[in-house]
Amino acid sequence: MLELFSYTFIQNAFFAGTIVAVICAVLGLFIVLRKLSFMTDGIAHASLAGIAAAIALKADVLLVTGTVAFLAALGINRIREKMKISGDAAIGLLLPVGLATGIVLLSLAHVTSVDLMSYLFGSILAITSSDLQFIVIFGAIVLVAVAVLRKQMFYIAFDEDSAKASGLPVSAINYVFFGLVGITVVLALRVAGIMLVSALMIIPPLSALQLKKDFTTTLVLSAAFGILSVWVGIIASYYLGVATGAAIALSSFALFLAASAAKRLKL
Amino acid sequence: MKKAARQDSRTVLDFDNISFSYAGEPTIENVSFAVQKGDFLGIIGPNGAGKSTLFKIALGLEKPTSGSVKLFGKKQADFSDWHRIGFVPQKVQFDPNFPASVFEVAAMGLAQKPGLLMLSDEQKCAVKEALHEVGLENQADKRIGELSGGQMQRAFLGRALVAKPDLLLLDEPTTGIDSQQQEKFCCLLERLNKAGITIVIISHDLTFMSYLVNKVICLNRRVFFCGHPKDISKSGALPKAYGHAVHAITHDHEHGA
Repeated sequence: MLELFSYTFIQNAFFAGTIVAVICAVLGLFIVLRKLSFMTDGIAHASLAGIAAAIALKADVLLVTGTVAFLAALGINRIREKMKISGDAAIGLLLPVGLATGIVLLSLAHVTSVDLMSYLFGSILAITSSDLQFIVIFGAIVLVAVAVLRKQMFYIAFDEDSAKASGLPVSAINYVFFGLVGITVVLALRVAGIMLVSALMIIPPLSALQLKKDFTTTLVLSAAFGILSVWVGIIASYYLGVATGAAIALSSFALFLAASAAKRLKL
Repeated sequence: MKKAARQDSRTVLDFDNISFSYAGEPTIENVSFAVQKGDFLGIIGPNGAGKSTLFKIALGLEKPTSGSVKLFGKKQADFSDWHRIGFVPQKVQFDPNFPASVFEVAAMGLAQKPGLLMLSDEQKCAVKEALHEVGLENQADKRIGELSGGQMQRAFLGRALVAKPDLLLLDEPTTGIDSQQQEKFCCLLERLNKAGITIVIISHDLTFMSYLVNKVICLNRRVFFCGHPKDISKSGALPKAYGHAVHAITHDHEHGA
């Protein structure tokens, strides 16, 4: 098995996958607790517009998609706050708009379906050094921001009204939170793709929640489940010769089943 | 209550001619009263009287149509010492499966304080102290959803106390709690008030209030009565505020304030 790690592309995949797994699982826990699970799919689908625009304009895909995802995430929060529309409805509003814009741009640019496959289902084994740099820099930004705002984000996730009443700048923190989710979704797209991003952001926190621990333990468990999903997924895809994004998603689900079984057996 | 009396340095909360409308309908009209340091003030009134709205205005969650609020002598908009105010809402809307221990819930009261990831030793001590105060020190590691209604309210009171506030705002904190738990809760509030914390409490229960507070305000859009609880029955304010005869069993006792 050690021969696996002699390949640079596998090393890159493990390194990038681990960083992405941690930030996805940590932010994902806040998303699940705030009942905004649909949001990751919404932003991922909306970011198709960014991917399409970057391909059509021959611009840097990560940068353009990142900007679009970031703006989509802030847009969801703005609609939620200013128009008093619930979070899931705001996501439902932006999701088809992003998806449709992406499809229109791709049609106009005559992009083939082959170009799109890696964005729809991820291509972690094709991660380059510059992709890795991007993931390390933005992953560190997300982690530092979460570390600084953890207490406040925890309070808001538990009870937003009381958090406001305690004088916390809830609206500003929400914008930062939604912006971080936008960045994280884009980083996760390279690993799992548009269709499977929730495998990294939603399933690991759900697995951790099965074990009914306190918040700090759940946060650590969530990250651990995320890392394990990515590692098992990469190894399984290498030996079974299957798509890595899908293998990660399925290993994530297998871990969820294991956590649920552990809960039932009170392990 | 005279304006001059409301403006001394002992005034912790001052509502000055507050009016508020919801969807064009006035729910509070020209309400003025002040809370002095050490007061244990009760606000009573029928449903929809605007009691909770007053708290929301004080906390900046709603903006009054007219009038102003001062907290510790500062205009509400300029006030920033939020750790000086502890608030326990009527009903904390949270998922009972939320992964939070009682300790973590109490520690939320320190969210205003800076600090990366972990609490400092001093902050941990403050949380333990607050949980000891509300009698939940042995439940610290339990998940919040596993507590009874009364214990939950005490946990939220612990959250409000952890930053060592000077003023506590409690919005019907004993709703849904059995009488035994209610009594324990009242003893705790009396102890906190004697320790120097100013308390403003909203309740439907006039009898409960009269045993607890040293000043009562009867509100229904406007203030119908402001004074000692023993005087409320003979003031004739209750039937006017409630729109029907209300019998209050009042208890004549003195508080430390």
